[in-house]
Amino acid sequence: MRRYHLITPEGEEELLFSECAQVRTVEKNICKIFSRACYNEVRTPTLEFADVFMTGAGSIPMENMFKLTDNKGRLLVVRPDSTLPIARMTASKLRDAHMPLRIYYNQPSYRTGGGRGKGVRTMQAGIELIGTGGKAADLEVLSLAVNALDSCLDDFRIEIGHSGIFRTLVRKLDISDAKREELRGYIESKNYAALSAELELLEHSDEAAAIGMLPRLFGGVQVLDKVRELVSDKELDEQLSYLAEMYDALSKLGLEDKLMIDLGLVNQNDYYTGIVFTAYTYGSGENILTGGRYDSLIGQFGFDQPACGFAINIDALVKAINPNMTACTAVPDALVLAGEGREIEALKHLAKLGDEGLVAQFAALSDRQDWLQYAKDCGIRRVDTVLDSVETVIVE
Amino acid sequence: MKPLRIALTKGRLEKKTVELLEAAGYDCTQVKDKGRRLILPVGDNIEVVLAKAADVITYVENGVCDLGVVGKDTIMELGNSFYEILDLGFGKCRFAVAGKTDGCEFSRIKTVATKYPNVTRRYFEGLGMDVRVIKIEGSVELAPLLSLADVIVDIVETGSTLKENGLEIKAEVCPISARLICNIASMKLRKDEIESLSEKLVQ
Repeated sequence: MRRYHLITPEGEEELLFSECAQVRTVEKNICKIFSRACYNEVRTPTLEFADVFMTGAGSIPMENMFKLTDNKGRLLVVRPDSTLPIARMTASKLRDAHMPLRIYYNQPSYRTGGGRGKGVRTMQAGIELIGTGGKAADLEVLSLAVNALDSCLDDFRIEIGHSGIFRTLVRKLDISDAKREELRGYIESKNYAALSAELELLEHSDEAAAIGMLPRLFGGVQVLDKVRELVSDKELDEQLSYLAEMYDALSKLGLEDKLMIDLGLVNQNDYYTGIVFTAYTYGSGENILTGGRYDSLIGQFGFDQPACGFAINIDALVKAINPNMTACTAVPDALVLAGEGREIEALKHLAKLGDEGLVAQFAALSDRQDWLQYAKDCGIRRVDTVLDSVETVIVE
Repeated sequence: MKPLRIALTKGRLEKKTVELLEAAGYDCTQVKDKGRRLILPVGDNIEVVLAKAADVITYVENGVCDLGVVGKDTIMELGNSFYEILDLGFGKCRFAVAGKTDGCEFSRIKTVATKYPNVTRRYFEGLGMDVRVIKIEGSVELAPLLSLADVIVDIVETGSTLKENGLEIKAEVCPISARLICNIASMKLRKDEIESLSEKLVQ
């Protein structure tokens, strides 16, 4: 039998030393922003019943989840997403809590697939604002997303869209759910050619013409007018005005050069019910943040509450910040050598240096010259030898 | 600003794309006279990368290339987490099911040989037919001739290879052509450059 004891499964990854340090720094910056805004951390189980992720909207395709069974033969999955478990948690343990709830998490999620450079594990830090809706809540969430990215990136783009616009337009067309999903897929992948070919088969209408334009409608606030010119509908007008209002408010936050509107933002994850947004940066080919409003998701677990949230892809973010990261260990400030029989004194001295804020490495004194050479090679500036007294040598 | 990087599928699609770029006024002398180099500048702000079809998708998905030119057949086989922004109109052919002229009835097909197992599985699943798919790397036409499979699913341009080997088309699956694909982040971060290039390629 072939043994795989020296390698990791495809799509998994080990992080060593400075790689860990960098991921931690980014996580720490982001979590600090979250907790300052009064969000409290939760951890959800790594293993969940598959049912959590297979209930109505937001269901995760069966083939994308890692599965196993518990000792009663029930189907478990390795956490593929954090929002659904938090919805479950809200509808069970947090039913009597004061609303709104401000929750954050920093934990990995797992999806099968991998290959072609993609991992199966994604470290995600995200927030959920539960129990409140409307403009103020959406703005709170969006500005928090921007602050979190600002804490670790110089330049990024954040784009906003509205999940209701496609739904409102497509409702006017007399088409099957399968056809609807096909159109949505073409908009999502900006496949202009296939989308227009498909729409030509339908009876001509202003709504169909507007749907045909959706993939191209991204950019400044003027893209909203292009839809308004074509279709007049009360619900649609409200959705477009809402986006205009959000765009205006976010511009006032000084975000104008980072902000875009994308009316082609039609997620497959169709639990979104209002504003949706996503962020990109140079050096990462995938989006680094996704989020939106999902007012009916928690209701699927039997507790009707509006909610809005986002998740940051920490792995993509770290890769964008430093694409050429190599693993290296930190250089200690000092080396403490224990003379024969002086180990306890030397360990006490080591602790004393630690209290002074120095990183010190412990070693048994054998050949002093060898250790001095070692310190020089590693770039350690100070060597303390503990015999009857402590003797300090500064290495040049 | 870094140049816009386009991955081209080596071979026929590469030549056709170069013709389009030249017609749009780009200087492609370096690509035509490439020797063994794989990354080549076109004008001042475009860089062409030459790769195999499946790799074009990998490079674009991972964002190391902003754009790519690749056949719809490869896109259908390998999925799409990128934008498919333009049907370039060349490299036209179609996916078809083909088998021996005296072969079995369509509804009795049990084994299918193909270079495109995902496309094949999806197609027969859609018809509600349960078939066994055998992955073949090249000259798929051999499989029915040697009785390894009842039929093949492959891209067909003129159909002359089929004919010469005593095979005929049993069913058309869908038409194929070359597509311009784009990384999702690049599309947002470099919108103006990408839109202006893709407009030039349409003309």
